[in-house]
Amino acid sequence: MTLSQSPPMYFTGQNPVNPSPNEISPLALNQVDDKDVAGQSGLNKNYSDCGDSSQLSASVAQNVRRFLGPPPAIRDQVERVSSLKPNQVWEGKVTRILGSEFIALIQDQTVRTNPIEEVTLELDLVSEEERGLVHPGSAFYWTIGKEKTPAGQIKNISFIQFKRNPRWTANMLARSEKRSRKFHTLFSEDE
Amino acid sequence: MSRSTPPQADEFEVSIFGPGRGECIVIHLGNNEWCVVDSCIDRATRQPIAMQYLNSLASDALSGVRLIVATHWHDDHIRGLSSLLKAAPAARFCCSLALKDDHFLTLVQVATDGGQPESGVDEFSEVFNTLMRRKGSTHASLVSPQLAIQNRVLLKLDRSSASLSVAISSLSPSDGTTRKAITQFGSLIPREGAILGSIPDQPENHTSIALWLNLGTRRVLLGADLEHTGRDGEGWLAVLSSKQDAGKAGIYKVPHHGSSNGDYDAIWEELLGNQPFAVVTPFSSGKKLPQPSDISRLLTRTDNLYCTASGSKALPRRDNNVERELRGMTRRAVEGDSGHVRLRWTSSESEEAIRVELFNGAYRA
Repeated sequence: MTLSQSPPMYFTGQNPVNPSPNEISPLALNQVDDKDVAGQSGLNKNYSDCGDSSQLSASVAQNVRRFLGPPPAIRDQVERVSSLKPNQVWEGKVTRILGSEFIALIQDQTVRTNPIEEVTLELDLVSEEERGLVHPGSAFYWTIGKEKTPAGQIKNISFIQFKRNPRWTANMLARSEKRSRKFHTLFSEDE
Repeated sequence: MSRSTPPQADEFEVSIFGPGRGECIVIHLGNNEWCVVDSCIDRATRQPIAMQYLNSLASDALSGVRLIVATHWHDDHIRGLSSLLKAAPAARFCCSLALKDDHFLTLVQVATDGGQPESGVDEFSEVFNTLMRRKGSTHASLVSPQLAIQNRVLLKLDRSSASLSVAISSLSPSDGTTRKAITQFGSLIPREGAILGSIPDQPENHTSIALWLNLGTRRVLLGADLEHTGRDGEGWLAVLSSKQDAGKAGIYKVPHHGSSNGDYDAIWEELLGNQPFAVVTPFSSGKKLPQPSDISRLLTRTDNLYCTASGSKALPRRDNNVERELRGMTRRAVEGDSGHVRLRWTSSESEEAIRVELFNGAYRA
């Protein structure tokens, strides 16, 4: 099953600078790997611990490649920044929505041995275009880092990107139902 | 005694682990035979805690695991269960009868196809696949899950001496709660147009398997997350109305992380002896459990109350830039080192001889 979608056109061909090994080129974010996409929303997938920033960048690039497409928040960044150096990345899952805030469990992707945290986040941190994606069970990445503008200015940055999962179709559901029948044999053997 | 000292062949053990989110119970049944109830993951190694502990005791301990019970499908009780099952080839897997339902099996497949991690059912998918892979290479009883329902014997080890014999029975789920769970499963299957990866956590614990253990002459009650709903035929009322063993338990895993909705006077009066050893595993996510009022209430029931971990865990210190961005935010660590309460006794010893050992921050309340 392929769940991927084509990346937005404006993303292709834009590579304003050659990033250093410790930075992520916006183009790197564009390299969606179809093989990776089907299992993209795991809180506990196989990420390595990142002892130094170059490893961290590689890990983040790997994480971000798992996205189905860059949401508007990052598109804005891409249009105006030449590079992004993440200091910290979490993968999160929304557990509850409370008015103008939401509560999420977040797993540190920078140091995997850090404990899972529960955090209360303002909905304002999510771009308006993405707020429809915020619901219990939805997954996101939260990145804190530094951006270097084309003019060379370095600024702190914190942004949340929600995973843009496709929707279940009748065919997909029928296929899952059919596949689930293999499990029935487990329960019939002992009866 | 060192934590890695294995029990003697004639020694029973109930070890309860809780890192703050998740719980696991490892039981020595004598003669290097073991039972594991539920599973959680070690924060640092990401390995199942039961697997780590058993490996630390003896190189062959995992091969002595006879039964692995998933009391219910909530994420905090089953994480790492499939890895444990793979490492324990002689273990039978046991789950609630309700999980045989077609809707639940579809839900498990949907979790695999739709990428729904941490929903609880995704771990079951790997468990079922592990059992499927056993087909043809082992006895059929180690392939088919054992289905727990009220008053069913799950494991019986008859030994030469009654003081070494073992019986493990499920006290729940009742017929009523099983029916209720099955109805719920149907409503959880995504409909056409629903977004992939969005099965929210389920607050109810309808299918929880409470266990009654006869370990030699002693009895142990493991309450899982079974709740007292106040409705006939459900939860603890159903357990009490069909109680079969006249004896009382001296060791108690307090249900549902010490929450008041898992507590009921009659449990203490009819199922538990005087001043039982009671162990609580905290739950640090959402509404923290146990609340101070829960600890106070439980202390009115027994003086021998233990907790696997404290409720407050230190947050990691990060890069200054990151700390600046996090300033003022409400956040807390929901898991820490896995606290461990270990109770051991020799089959011939009297009630007073139970030895309680506390490791990794576990404490007596």
